[in-house]
Amino acid sequence: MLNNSNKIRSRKGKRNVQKGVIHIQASFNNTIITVTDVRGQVILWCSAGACGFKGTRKSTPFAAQAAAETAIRASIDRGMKQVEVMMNGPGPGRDTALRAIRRSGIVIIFVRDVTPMPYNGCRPPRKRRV
Amino acid sequence: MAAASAMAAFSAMACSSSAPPPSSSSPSQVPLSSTSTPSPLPRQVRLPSSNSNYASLSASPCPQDPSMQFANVMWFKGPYNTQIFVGETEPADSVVKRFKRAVMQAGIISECRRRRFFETRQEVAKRKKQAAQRRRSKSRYFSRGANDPKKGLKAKPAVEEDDDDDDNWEYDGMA
Repeated sequence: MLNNSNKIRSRKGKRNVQKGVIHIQASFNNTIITVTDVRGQVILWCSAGACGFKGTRKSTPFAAQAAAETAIRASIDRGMKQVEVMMNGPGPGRDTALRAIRRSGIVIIFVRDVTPMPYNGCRPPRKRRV
Repeated sequence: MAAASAMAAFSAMACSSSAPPPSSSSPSQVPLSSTSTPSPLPRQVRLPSSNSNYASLSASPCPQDPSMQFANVMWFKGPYNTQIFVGETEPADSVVKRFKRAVMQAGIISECRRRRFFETRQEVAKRKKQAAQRRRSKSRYFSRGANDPKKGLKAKPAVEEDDDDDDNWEYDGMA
Protein backbone atom coordinates (compact mmCIF):
# COMPACT_ATOMS: atom_id res chain seq x y z
CA MET A 1 0.00 0.00 0.00
CA LEU A 2 1.37 3.39 -0.97
CA ASN A 3 1.72 5.98 1.71
CA ASN A 4 -0.43 8.88 0.52
CA SER A 5 0.85 11.41 3.04
CA ASN A 6 3.77 12.36 0.78
CA LYS A 7 1.68 12.48 -2.36
CA ILE A 8 2.57 15.49 -4.55
CA ARG A 9 -0.56 17.30 -5.46
CA SER A 10 -0.49 18.40 -9.10
CA ARG A 11 -1.74 21.91 -8.67
CA LYS A 12 -2.84 23.82 -11.72
CA GLY A 13 -0.45 26.75 -11.80
CA LYS A 14 -1.35 30.14 -13.17
CA ARG A 15 -0.97 30.01 -16.92
CA ASN A 16 0.53 33.16 -18.37
CA VAL A 17 -1.04 33.69 -21.75
CA GLN A 18 -0.38 36.91 -23.65
CA LYS A 19 -3.00 36.53 -26.35
CA GLY A 20 -6.41 35.12 -25.72
CA VAL A 21 -10.07 35.08 -26.59
CA ILE A 22 -12.89 36.46 -24.47
CA HIS A 23 -16.20 34.75 -25.04
CA ILE A 24 -19.20 36.74 -23.86
CA GLN A 25 -22.34 34.66 -23.65
CA ALA A 26 -25.15 37.16 -23.15
CA SER A 27 -28.34 35.22 -22.64
CA PHE A 28 -31.63 36.73 -21.54
CA ASN A 29 -31.13 35.70 -17.91
CA ASN A 30 -27.39 35.91 -17.36
CA THR A 31 -24.04 36.99 -18.81
CA ILE A 32 -21.09 34.58 -18.70
CA ILE A 33 -17.61 35.73 -19.61
CA THR A 34 -15.02 33.05 -20.37
CA VAL A 35 -11.40 33.83 -21.07
CA THR A 36 -9.60 31.22 -23.13
CA ASP A 37 -6.36 30.94 -25.02
CA VAL A 38 -6.22 31.02 -28.81
CA ARG A 39 -6.95 27.31 -29.04
CA GLY A 40 -10.06 27.57 -26.89
CA GLN A 41 -8.78 26.10 -23.63
CA VAL A 42 -10.40 27.92 -20.74
CA ILE A 43 -8.20 30.01 -18.48
CA LEU A 44 -10.82 31.56 -16.26
CA TRP A 45 -14.46 32.53 -16.26
CA CYS A 46 -16.78 34.90 -14.51
CA SER A 47 -20.50 35.50 -14.64
CA ALA A 48 -23.10 37.88 -13.31
CA GLY A 49 -24.27 35.21 -10.88
CA ALA A 50 -20.72 34.66 -9.66
CA CYS A 51 -20.43 38.39 -8.92
CA GLY A 52 -23.18 38.14 -6.33
CA PHE A 53 -26.21 39.09 -8.40
CA LYS A 54 -29.23 36.84 -8.17
CA GLY A 55 -32.45 36.43 -10.06
CA THR A 56 -33.62 39.35 -12.17
CA ARG A 57 -30.60 41.46 -11.19
CA LYS A 58 -28.37 39.03 -13.08
CA SER A 59 -30.01 39.97 -16.35
CA THR A 60 -28.99 43.63 -16.20
CA PRO A 61 -26.26 45.45 -18.08
CA PHE A 62 -24.63 46.52 -14.80
CA ALA A 63 -24.19 42.91 -13.72
CA ALA A 64 -22.58 42.12 -17.08
CA GLN A 65 -20.22 45.06 -16.59
CA ALA A 66 -19.22 43.80 -13.13
CA ALA A 67 -18.58 40.31 -14.47
CA ALA A 68 -16.50 41.67 -17.36
CA GLU A 69 -14.43 43.83 -15.04
CA THR A 70 -13.72 40.93 -12.71
CA ALA A 71 -12.72 38.65 -15.58
CA ILE A 72 -10.51 41.29 -17.19
CA ARG A 73 -8.73 42.11 -13.93
CA ALA A 74 -7.93 38.46 -13.34
CA SER A 75 -6.77 37.92 -16.93
CA ILE A 76 -4.50 41.00 -16.83
CA ASP A 77 -2.94 39.54 -13.66
CA ARG A 78 -2.11 36.49 -15.71
CA GLY A 79 -0.36 38.62 -18.31
CA MET A 80 -3.05 38.93 -20.96
CA LYS A 81 -2.20 41.69 -23.42
CA GLN A 82 -4.26 41.09 -26.57
CA VAL A 83 -7.71 39.64 -26.84
CA GLU A 84 -10.29 38.77 -29.42
CA VAL A 85 -13.88 39.15 -28.38
CA MET A 86 -16.55 36.66 -29.37
CA MET A 87 -20.07 37.74 -28.64
CA ASN A 88 -22.83 35.19 -28.25
CA GLY A 89 -26.51 35.62 -27.61
CA PRO A 90 -29.00 38.49 -27.61
CA GLY A 91 -28.98 39.47 -23.95
CA PRO A 92 -28.84 42.86 -22.27
CA GLY A 93 -25.17 42.59 -21.27
CA ARG A 94 -23.66 42.71 -24.74
CA ASP A 95 -22.72 46.36 -25.03
CA THR A 96 -21.76 47.06 -21.44
CA ALA A 97 -19.46 44.05 -21.26
CA LEU A 98 -17.73 45.13 -24.47
CA ARG A 99 -17.40 48.67 -23.14
CA ALA A 100 -15.89 47.40 -19.89
CA ILE A 101 -13.37 45.30 -21.80
CA ARG A 102 -12.39 48.25 -23.98
CA ARG A 103 -12.09 50.61 -21.00
CA SER A 104 -9.84 48.24 -19.06
CA GLY A 105 -6.90 49.04 -21.33
CA ILE A 106 -6.46 45.60 -22.85
CA VAL A 107 -5.83 45.56 -26.61
CA ILE A 108 -8.75 44.24 -28.61
CA ILE A 109 -7.92 42.86 -32.04
CA PHE A 110 -11.43 42.27 -33.30
CA VAL A 111 -14.96 41.79 -32.06
CA ARG A 112 -17.01 39.03 -33.60
CA ASP A 113 -20.60 37.97 -33.22
CA VAL A 114 -20.82 34.18 -33.16
CA THR A 115 -24.45 33.78 -32.20
CA PRO A 116 -25.47 30.38 -33.56
CA MET A 117 -28.16 30.67 -36.21
CA PRO A 118 -29.98 27.57 -37.39
CA TYR A 119 -30.76 27.09 -41.03
CA ASN A 120 -34.33 26.33 -39.92
CA GLY A 121 -33.30 23.42 -37.70
CA CYS A 122 -34.95 22.27 -34.49
CA ARG A 123 -38.44 23.42 -33.65
CA PRO A 124 -38.31 25.99 -30.83
CA PRO A 125 -40.52 25.72 -27.74
CA ARG A 126 -44.07 27.04 -27.89
CA LYS A 127 -45.00 30.62 -27.17
CA ARG A 128 -45.42 31.54 -23.52
CA ARG A 129 -48.89 32.51 -22.40
CA VAL A 130 -48.06 35.00 -19.69
CA MET B 1 -12.39 15.47 -41.92
CA ALA B 2 -10.61 18.50 -40.55
CA ALA B 3 -10.32 19.93 -44.04
CA ALA B 4 -13.99 19.23 -44.69
CA SER B 5 -15.00 20.97 -41.51
CA ALA B 6 -12.73 23.90 -42.34
CA MET B 7 -14.28 24.19 -45.80
CA ALA B 8 -17.72 23.93 -44.26
CA ALA B 9 -16.77 26.78 -41.98
CA PHE B 10 -15.95 28.92 -45.00
CA SER B 11 -19.17 28.12 -46.80
CA ALA B 12 -21.26 28.68 -43.68
CA MET B 13 -20.14 32.29 -43.36
CA ALA B 14 -23.38 34.27 -43.25
CA CYS B 15 -24.24 37.96 -43.72
CA SER B 16 -21.72 40.75 -44.11
CA SER B 17 -18.22 40.38 -42.87
CA SER B 18 -15.42 42.88 -43.12
CA ALA B 19 -12.25 41.69 -44.79
CA PRO B 20 -9.17 41.69 -42.60
CA PRO B 21 -6.97 44.74 -43.16
CA PRO B 22 -3.52 44.40 -44.73
CA SER B 23 -1.89 46.03 -41.70
CA SER B 24 -3.03 45.96 -38.14
CA SER B 25 -2.62 49.72 -37.74
CA SER B 26 -5.42 50.77 -40.07
CA PRO B 27 -8.53 48.72 -39.29
CA SER B 28 -10.80 51.74 -39.27
CA GLN B 29 -10.42 52.09 -43.03
CA VAL B 30 -11.97 48.71 -43.67
CA PRO B 31 -15.49 49.20 -45.03
CA LEU B 32 -18.11 47.68 -42.81
CA SER B 33 -20.51 46.78 -45.54
CA SER B 34 -17.97 44.99 -47.72
CA THR B 35 -19.22 41.68 -48.96
CA SER B 36 -15.81 40.34 -49.87
CA THR B 37 -15.19 36.84 -48.65
CA PRO B 38 -12.67 36.67 -45.83
CA SER B 39 -9.30 35.20 -46.63
CA PRO B 40 -8.74 31.70 -45.33
CA LEU B 41 -6.02 32.87 -42.93
CA PRO B 42 -7.26 36.00 -41.14
CA ARG B 43 -3.97 36.40 -39.33
CA GLN B 44 -0.67 34.67 -38.91
CA VAL B 45 -1.09 31.88 -36.42
CA ARG B 46 1.89 30.39 -34.73
CA LEU B 47 1.47 26.70 -34.34
CA PRO B 48 2.58 25.07 -31.08
CA SER B 49 6.06 23.63 -31.22
CA SER B 50 4.87 20.24 -29.93
CA ASN B 51 2.96 19.63 -33.17
CA SER B 52 6.08 19.49 -35.30
CA ASN B 53 4.13 17.59 -37.98
CA TYR B 54 1.85 20.53 -38.68
CA ALA B 55 4.68 23.08 -38.60
CA SER B 56 6.71 21.16 -41.13
CA LEU B 57 3.71 20.58 -43.37
CA SER B 58 2.76 24.24 -43.35
CA ALA B 59 6.28 25.18 -44.44
CA SER B 60 6.61 22.51 -47.13
CA PRO B 61 5.12 23.31 -50.54
CA CYS B 62 3.39 19.95 -51.09
CA PRO B 63 1.87 18.28 -48.02
CA GLN B 64 2.19 14.55 -47.63
CA ASP B 65 -1.41 14.13 -46.70
CA PRO B 66 -4.11 16.17 -48.51
CA SER B 67 -6.10 16.48 -45.31
CA MET B 68 -3.15 18.27 -43.67
CA GLN B 69 -3.07 20.90 -46.40
CA PHE B 70 -5.18 23.23 -44.29
CA ALA B 71 -3.47 22.45 -41.00
CA ASN B 72 -2.92 26.18 -40.47
CA VAL B 73 -6.61 26.75 -40.72
CA MET B 74 -7.35 24.45 -37.81
CA TRP B 75 -6.93 27.39 -35.51
CA PHE B 76 -9.51 29.35 -37.49
CA LYS B 77 -12.28 30.28 -35.12
CA GLY B 78 -15.14 29.19 -37.34
CA PRO B 79 -18.10 30.93 -38.88
CA TYR B 80 -19.33 34.21 -37.53
CA ASN B 81 -22.14 36.63 -38.29
CA THR B 82 -20.34 39.95 -38.21
CA GLN B 83 -16.92 41.20 -37.34
CA ILE B 84 -15.31 44.54 -36.71
CA PHE B 85 -11.63 45.28 -36.35
CA VAL B 86 -10.79 47.59 -33.49
CA GLY B 87 -8.27 50.39 -33.85
CA GLU B 88 -5.59 50.97 -31.25
CA THR B 89 -6.76 54.41 -30.19
CA GLU B 90 -10.43 53.96 -30.85
CA PRO B 91 -12.59 55.06 -27.89
CA ALA B 92 -14.86 52.55 -26.18
CA ASP B 93 -18.04 54.29 -27.27
CA SER B 94 -16.97 54.21 -30.90
CA VAL B 95 -16.20 50.49 -30.72
CA VAL B 96 -19.57 49.72 -29.15
CA LYS B 97 -21.41 51.94 -31.61
CA ARG B 98 -19.74 50.37 -34.63
CA PHE B 99 -20.39 46.87 -33.34
CA LYS B 100 -24.02 47.66 -32.61
CA ARG B 101 -24.44 49.06 -36.10
CA ALA B 102 -22.87 45.99 -37.69
CA VAL B 103 -25.11 43.72 -35.63
CA MET B 104 -28.18 45.75 -36.55
CA GLN B 105 -27.32 45.59 -40.24
CA ALA B 106 -26.95 41.83 -39.99
CA GLY B 107 -30.26 41.57 -38.12
CA ILE B 108 -28.94 39.18 -35.47
CA ILE B 109 -30.92 40.34 -32.44
CA SER B 110 -34.25 40.38 -34.27
CA GLU B 111 -33.52 36.96 -35.73
CA CYS B 112 -32.74 35.62 -32.24
CA ARG B 113 -35.97 37.02 -30.87
CA ARG B 114 -37.92 35.53 -33.75
CA ARG B 115 -36.45 32.08 -33.25
CA ARG B 116 -36.87 32.06 -29.48
CA PHE B 117 -40.37 30.69 -29.61
CA PHE B 118 -42.22 28.82 -32.29
CA GLU B 119 -44.25 30.87 -34.76
CA THR B 120 -47.43 29.43 -36.19
CA ARG B 121 -48.26 29.94 -39.83
CA GLN B 122 -50.70 32.69 -38.93
CA GLU B 123 -48.09 34.51 -36.86
CA VAL B 124 -45.54 34.24 -39.66
CA ALA B 125 -48.01 35.70 -42.15
CA LYS B 126 -48.92 38.50 -39.74
CA ARG B 127 -45.26 39.40 -39.17
CA LYS B 128 -44.51 39.45 -42.91
CA LYS B 129 -47.54 41.62 -43.56
CA GLN B 130 -46.46 44.11 -40.88
CA ALA B 131 -42.91 44.17 -42.24
CA ALA B 132 -44.19 44.81 -45.77
CA GLN B 133 -46.40 47.65 -44.53
CA ARG B 134 -43.49 49.20 -42.68
CA ARG B 135 -41.29 48.95 -45.78
CA ARG B 136 -43.98 50.48 -47.98
CA SER B 137 -44.60 53.38 -45.59
CA LYS B 138 -40.85 54.04 -45.32
CA SER B 139 -40.34 54.13 -49.09
CA ARG B 140 -43.41 56.33 -49.46
CA TYR B 141 -41.98 58.74 -46.87
CA PHE B 142 -38.64 58.99 -48.67
CA SER B 143 -39.92 59.29 -52.21
CA ARG B 144 -42.79 61.65 -51.36
CA GLY B 145 -40.91 64.77 -52.44
CA ALA B 146 -40.22 63.46 -55.97
CA ASN B 147 -43.48 61.69 -56.72
CA ASP B 148 -45.95 63.92 -54.94
CA PRO B 149 -48.95 64.14 -57.35
CA LYS B 150 -49.91 67.68 -56.33
CA LYS B 151 -46.41 69.09 -56.86
CA GLY B 152 -45.93 67.22 -60.14
CA LEU B 153 -48.93 68.76 -61.99
CA LYS B 154 -47.84 72.29 -61.19
CA ALA B 155 -44.18 71.74 -62.08
CA LYS B 156 -44.55 70.08 -65.48
CA PRO B 157 -46.28 72.86 -67.51
CA ALA B 158 -43.78 75.46 -66.32
CA VAL B 159 -40.87 73.42 -67.57
CA GLU B 160 -42.47 72.91 -71.00
CA GLU B 161 -43.15 76.63 -71.44
CA ASP B 162 -39.51 77.46 -70.74
CA ASP B 163 -38.39 75.05 -73.43
CA ASP B 164 -40.72 76.63 -76.01
CA ASP B 165 -39.32 80.07 -75.36
CA ASP B 166 -35.77 78.95 -75.94
CA ASP B 167 -36.54 77.33 -79.29
CA ASN B 168 -35.25 79.14 -82.30
CA TRP B 169 -37.62 77.60 -84.87
CA GLU B 170 -39.29 80.87 -85.73
CA TYR B 171 -36.99 83.71 -86.67
CA ASP B 172 -37.79 86.97 -88.42
CA GLY B 173 -41.47 86.21 -87.82
CA MET B 174 -41.41 83.39 -90.39
CA ALA B 175 -43.39 80.29 -89.34
